[in-house]
Amino acid sequence: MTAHSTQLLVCMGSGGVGKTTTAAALALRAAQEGRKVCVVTIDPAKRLADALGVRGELSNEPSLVSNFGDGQLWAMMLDARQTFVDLIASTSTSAEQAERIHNNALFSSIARQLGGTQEYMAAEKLFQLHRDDRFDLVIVDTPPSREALNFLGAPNTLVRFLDHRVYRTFLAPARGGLKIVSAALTPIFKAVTRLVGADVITDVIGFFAAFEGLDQGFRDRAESINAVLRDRSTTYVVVTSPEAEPIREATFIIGELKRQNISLSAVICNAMTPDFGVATTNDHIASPRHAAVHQQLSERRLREVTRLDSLRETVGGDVKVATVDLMAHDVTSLDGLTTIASALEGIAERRA
Amino acid sequence: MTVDDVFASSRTIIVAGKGGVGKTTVSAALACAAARRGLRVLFVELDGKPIPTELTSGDGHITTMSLTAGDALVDYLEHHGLGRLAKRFASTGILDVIAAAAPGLDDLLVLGRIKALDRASDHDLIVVDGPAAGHALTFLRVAHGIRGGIRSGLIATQAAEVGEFLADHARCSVVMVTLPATTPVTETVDTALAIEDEIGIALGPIVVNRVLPDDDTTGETCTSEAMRRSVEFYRSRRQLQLESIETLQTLLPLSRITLPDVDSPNVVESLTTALLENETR
Repeated sequence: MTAHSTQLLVCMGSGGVGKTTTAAALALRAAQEGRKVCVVTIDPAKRLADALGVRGELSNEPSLVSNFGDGQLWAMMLDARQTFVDLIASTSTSAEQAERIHNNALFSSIARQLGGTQEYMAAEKLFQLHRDDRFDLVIVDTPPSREALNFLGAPNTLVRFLDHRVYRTFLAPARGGLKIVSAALTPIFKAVTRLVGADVITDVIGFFAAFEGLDQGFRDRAESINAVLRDRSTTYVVVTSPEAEPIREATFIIGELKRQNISLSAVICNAMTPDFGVATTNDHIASPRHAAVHQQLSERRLREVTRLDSLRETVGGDVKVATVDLMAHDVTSLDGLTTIASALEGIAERRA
Repeated sequence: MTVDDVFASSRTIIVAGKGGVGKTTVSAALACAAARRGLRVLFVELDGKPIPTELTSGDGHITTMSLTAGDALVDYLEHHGLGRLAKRFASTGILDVIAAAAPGLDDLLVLGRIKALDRASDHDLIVVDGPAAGHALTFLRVAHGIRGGIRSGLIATQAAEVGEFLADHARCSVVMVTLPATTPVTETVDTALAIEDEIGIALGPIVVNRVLPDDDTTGETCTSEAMRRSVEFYRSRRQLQLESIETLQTLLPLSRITLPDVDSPNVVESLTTALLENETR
């Protein structure tokens, strides 16, 4: 018997394009189709919690939002720091080692804000959920990022850090106190001490010492996560809005995915100006002020459609491009999400 | 209060706002508007993004500059007699580790460079297109006790000086850009309160970008279904905007500059004109 494996769907895109709402709508639709879905959000707006009907805060563990017959919709909000702490606890060889790492000032900084930590933990969480047999499908909303690659390169974050030349200078091959002392006497460290003081150096040395023996474990884990992210059954969706800047960003992300040989399954363009249909010349003459509004919106839609067409060319014919019209009201209920979801048919389908 | 009061209030203006609110466009328009008033303007871009072409093809009043943490570091080391070491730092990569140990070091160096530009007085106004997406608070907080805990050394001195610069209302203020929608408004209020209370930085007016103008169709009869539906939609979107502007005003009673929703290739130009005509409320 093979281990349980959940389909993964990754939403990418720049900030402010409705990525979180899209992820929730896709999850809702799959749940309504009878699947067991978990949506992982990074920084859900309160509005989204409202839309999902979730009272109070979402936590770092999935909680059941709603049942739809056999289908289930779960949601969780990534807590990067907590996920990191859990990861350290499960990887450490002893409770003492885990505690030494937790108590190190450098670890706290890294857990909070080493470049890419949030992406790293999103990938880690996705990997955990991938093996969780409560779910058929996990949808993750990646942190907004100028570099689409941040997410895909994220699993190697800690490995890269532990591989650091400084680390090797300190701890390998002569692991032990003497080596550390001699390194600290080099001119470069004296200069760093002059810049940032001796405390920082002590923290750095303590950090690398606390991780002793764990690097292989983290390396193996990074490899497993990378394999899952690049597995053909993992689906990538790029979300955008029809404004010039987000379209440029989406074009860039799509190019990067292609370059990395990762197949894109759909592009979703949110907040399109709706098509209100045409008006006659007589109507224009009879109601010039109405006509001005109508024309403004029509022209806007035309510009949006043109931008989207150029994006379609980048994407190629075999990738679905779905559009979702801007709604007259904010999405604040499951009903609102259902309306969005209806435009997204076929995107979170089961893979054969 | 007019945009001229904004230009007069402090030499350095740091423009902050989340991704997607039009921060770079608004920064560029502020720079253009100031230049059109005859001020010598320095536009500083922080994220390595391309500088808007409206600023580089200009009339000589605007100087532009891309500032990265790496540049700022080299600059800093050279000014402190450590230039010789800059290269070796880069080759050993030790700075990545130190930067992780002392989070915010990169931000601090960037702010230190801005402080130096301010002190040099070569420009009447420095517009800083602030850091992207949610990073603004971390960025501005940095001097306030450099969080990883640098308690001694040259950098600690630098942090103290940057802290003084940020808190000096005659030298530095923050202009926040937001959109008239629920989530951006909530986030702006939270960030603004933190900037003022926690860090003591002066807040300039809040720029509310992409506001739909009044549709002006009241009382006009209309027989076209397409037109009627488009007006209905427009009004409903505008109503949502007005509600969130009201929320903003209640929670954050600061002066405000509203800028129109422009969807054309000449956004910077349109916003510059709007800024010069706009009275803040």
